[in-house]
Amino acid sequence: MSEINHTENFATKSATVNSTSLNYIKRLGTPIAALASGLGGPVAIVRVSGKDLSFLKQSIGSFPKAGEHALRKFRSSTLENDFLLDEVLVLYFKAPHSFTGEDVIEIQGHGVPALVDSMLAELQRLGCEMAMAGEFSFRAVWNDKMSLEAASRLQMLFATEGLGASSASRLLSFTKSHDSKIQALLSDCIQSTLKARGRVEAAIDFAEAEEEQAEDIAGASERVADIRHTLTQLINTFEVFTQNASIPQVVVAGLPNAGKSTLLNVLCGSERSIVSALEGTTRDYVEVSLKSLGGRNFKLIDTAGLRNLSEHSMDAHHSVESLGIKKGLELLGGAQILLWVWDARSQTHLEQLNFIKKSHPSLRVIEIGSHRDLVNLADKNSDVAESRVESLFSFVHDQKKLREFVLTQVDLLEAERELLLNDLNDEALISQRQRALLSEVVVELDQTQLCLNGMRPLELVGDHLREVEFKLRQVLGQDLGEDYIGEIFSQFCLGK
Amino acid sequence: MGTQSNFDAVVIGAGHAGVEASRALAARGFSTALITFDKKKVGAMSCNPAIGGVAKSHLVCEVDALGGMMGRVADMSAIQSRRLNLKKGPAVRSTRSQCDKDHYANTMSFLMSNVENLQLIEAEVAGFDWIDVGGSRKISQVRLKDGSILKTRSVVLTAGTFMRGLMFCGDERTRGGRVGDSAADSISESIEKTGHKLTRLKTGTPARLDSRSIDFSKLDTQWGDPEKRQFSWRPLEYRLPQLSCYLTYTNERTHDIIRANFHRTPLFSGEIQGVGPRYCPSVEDKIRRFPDRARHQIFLEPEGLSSNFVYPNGMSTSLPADVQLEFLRSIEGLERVELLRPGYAVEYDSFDPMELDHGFMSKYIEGLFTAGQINRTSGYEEAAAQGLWAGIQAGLWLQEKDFIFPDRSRSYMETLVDDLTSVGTLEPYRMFTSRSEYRLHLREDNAAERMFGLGSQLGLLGDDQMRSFDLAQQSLADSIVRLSSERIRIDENRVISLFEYLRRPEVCWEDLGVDWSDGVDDRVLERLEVKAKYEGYLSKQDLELKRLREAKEMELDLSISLRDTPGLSMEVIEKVEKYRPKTLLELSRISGVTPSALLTIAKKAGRKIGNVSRETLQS
Repeated sequence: MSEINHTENFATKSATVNSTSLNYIKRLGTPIAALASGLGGPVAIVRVSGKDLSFLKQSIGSFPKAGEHALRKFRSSTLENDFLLDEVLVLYFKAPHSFTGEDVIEIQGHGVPALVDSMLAELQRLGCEMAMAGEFSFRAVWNDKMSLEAASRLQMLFATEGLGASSASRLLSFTKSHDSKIQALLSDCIQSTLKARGRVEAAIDFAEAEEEQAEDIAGASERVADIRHTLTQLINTFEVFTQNASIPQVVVAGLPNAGKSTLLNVLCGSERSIVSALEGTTRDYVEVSLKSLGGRNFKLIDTAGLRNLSEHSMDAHHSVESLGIKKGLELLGGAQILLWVWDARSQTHLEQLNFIKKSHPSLRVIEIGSHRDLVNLADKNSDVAESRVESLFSFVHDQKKLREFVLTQVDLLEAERELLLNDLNDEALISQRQRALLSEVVVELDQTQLCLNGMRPLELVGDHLREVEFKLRQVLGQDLGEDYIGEIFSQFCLGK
Repeated sequence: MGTQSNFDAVVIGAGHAGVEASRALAARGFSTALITFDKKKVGAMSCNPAIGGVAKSHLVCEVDALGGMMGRVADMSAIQSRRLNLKKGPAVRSTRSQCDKDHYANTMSFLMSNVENLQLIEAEVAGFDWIDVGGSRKISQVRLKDGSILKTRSVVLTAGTFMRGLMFCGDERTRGGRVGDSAADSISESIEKTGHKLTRLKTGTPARLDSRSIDFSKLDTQWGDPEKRQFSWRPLEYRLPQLSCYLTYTNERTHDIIRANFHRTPLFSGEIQGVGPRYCPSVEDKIRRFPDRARHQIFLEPEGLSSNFVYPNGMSTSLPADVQLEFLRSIEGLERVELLRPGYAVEYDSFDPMELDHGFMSKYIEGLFTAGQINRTSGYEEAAAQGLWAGIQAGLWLQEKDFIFPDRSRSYMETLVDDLTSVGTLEPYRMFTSRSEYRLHLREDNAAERMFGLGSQLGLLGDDQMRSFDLAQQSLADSIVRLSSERIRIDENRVISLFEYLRRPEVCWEDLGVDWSDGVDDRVLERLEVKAKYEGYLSKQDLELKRLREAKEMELDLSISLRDTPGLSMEVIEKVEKYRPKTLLELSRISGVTPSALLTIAKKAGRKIGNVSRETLQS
């Protein structure tokens, strides 16, 4: 019964309520503590937040003035015992001028795990609770020190491993206009979801009007397909961003004994992987952080030799090594640049290289030929094309030139990639949280189509599309009932 | 000079709501008066001659499982039954029964006049009064036109379309809530003194056709299902002979005639101001709103076994009688039709259900309950469900017990109550399956399972009903055991139980090849199938339910003014002040309350969440 607007009658409430943020809210009266820095460095920072932290004076004596720091002795005192735990630097941020908007004390002590453990135990004994993941940020939002959107971006910042500096600052400087673009796109999807559901619900609730039902269901199916298309595009933009946002990975690959490990050693300046003349000796992969000539950070990864990749010839004798090969292929999937090493004396590598290029089309390739000293370049019959001569090196004699060549090539390719990333600046970019939700939405949309195609009962469309609407609202942060707040913060690490 | 008598409860109006309200009160031992203009019209079907339909049949089954009258009387009066939505899934399958109208009203009158503790009074109400007790106003009595006084502590008002009822047929105006009956204007006056704001609503009914003047031979026949499905779990006393309905359609000529007479309908002249039921629009409204539709479907429904009245479903109108005859005669099969009575629109007073609490008690007068069409709903089934709810709650109030909080996950009845009292409505509200977020759980087949606990706890159920429910439960349990122990070979290597087999989407209970000759009810088999197939979906909903209940924990302290709270819009503040939500959950259900507004209000007015006091919440 498409003639009637049925969308206003839907259950306005969702059956789903998550109570994570209730947990945060319940604990608002409690002081919380957590290690805010990593362990293992020289200094460990313990952060405490609460409405009234005066109880800490039992341990650290008087507080420094608000906004200032002071050296204090951190004491642990029980009935039986009273001893000095550590000499610490104490910083005092008075409410509301702190990260959480509550009183915050930061204690910087020595980064010795045992000391930090005792310090946290002492804080608990004094009445602190160990903070839940993201609880500090939750309090910041609760006390209007931070917006939810900002918290969500922050979470992405922490969650993206090896984020490049330019991408990181982009996330931090995320503007309102980006958000409104997503807002507009997703609001349209929500409207469309409602309309699709309207048509299906009409077919159910006006069962007597049999004439219009097939049309209603087909109309809904079309809409669902459109929504799915829009969402997969958004997800795709995200994939491109994250693929390019992190520090580039350069994977070294080539046929066994082409000279990969030697090249790695040349680039790193020290013996990182085992080099031997036995075919396939680099059993595992090796990862090194390097800087290009232009000062760009990148990761260089050495893999096991890639032998007969296209034939999957992995016999029992080489099982350890074949694991390495498998790993190498996986690494290629996450890499941006392939550093392909080939032996100038032979052309047999081309088949393998083409195989890789075909299966990883976005991978950019730097080709390096080894053993330049062992081929006669003057020989017209040599297999080496003239255009490739400049990428031919003797790994023994031309090490400086080789190093400079590779590091310059990385710069060139990276500059290209940065341009691509700039192009993305105007695209609607979703966060990781949003991306995860959108993937769930896509699953729900697929389930919906099953129902519309008659593979499942039609009545389930209501549940699936309500879930779609609901998750889309969550993506937009429109529904607290579903508690997206809890969801953002619970993904933070402790102490944030 | 009238007499004076005492009742625990007085129910005003003996339509579908009043019947259920008074029965629920009487069944629990309260002396109850049921006042009606006409004792012969108890439970009268003022409009279409059918009970049930999608989502509505669910309401009927729920009412029945609480001991209500509607399902039982409809089963005894059914002259054609059909199951709708059979292929769309178990939760939306619905039953619709054409009823013999006179038989329905007669049976209802007879049964109601034999209910213990219930006195049926034929009279017109002049008004009701209240007294001030310790700062609150409490209902004290109902006055009748003959001067009699009924002293009472509770009144359930179920006046349908009768409060300031005004009927429109072209330019004719007639006072009254239904053709042949008068209006109840003095009740409206009493209500306005309470502070309730009354709003005009509109509904309509089509002309009634003389069956002898219809050429049925030209029309498609619509037969009922061979297996007649009951609403009630009570054993059926008897079954009436079955009739068929007929199908015909409007055409361009019909539409032209109606269009040419748009100026003669009070609906378009602005004279009728009340909002009408969107899902049951008058035919002139359909033509105007959907000018591109080439035709509209009409079901011709017989009104009874011994009646010449035929109800043309979908043709309600307020056009003048001559135009009605003209456009009807343009329709196939109706070329020589005669009208037994023209259609008309009726405008009436309604309450704002947001001025009621979840027990349907007035927020201004204690002991005053309202139910049915005056609460801005349409439909017999919606009215019955509300009447029952109001009757139950009025009883609890008389016992000085807390009202039952509507549980949306238990029934459509409670979904209806919750929607009306927490979100409100501006137009006549009709129930749909899509209104429930627990649709998969709220089915016809398990209505008894869902409601019996409440019914027996409240003492609403008779022994016969308890017995048939126990039998059904036993039969369900036995069937599960039987299907779990019998095995079927599905391929060379695998043998599984029939119950496992039933989980498959393509298998239904009819395919199991089990001999159910020991008389297992269809409804039990349907439940069995749902149990097998929807277990995953249902357990997911159960988990979500648990979480929802946790979220109800936070209470709001509304003695705190939200005025001048930074970041709160005036609109939100006004809504909160108007609807006074008691918990965070109720607050979240008010339309227009954004998550950030919710957070702001929770910060300011959150009383406690779990064991946290408001002091610690305030920052």
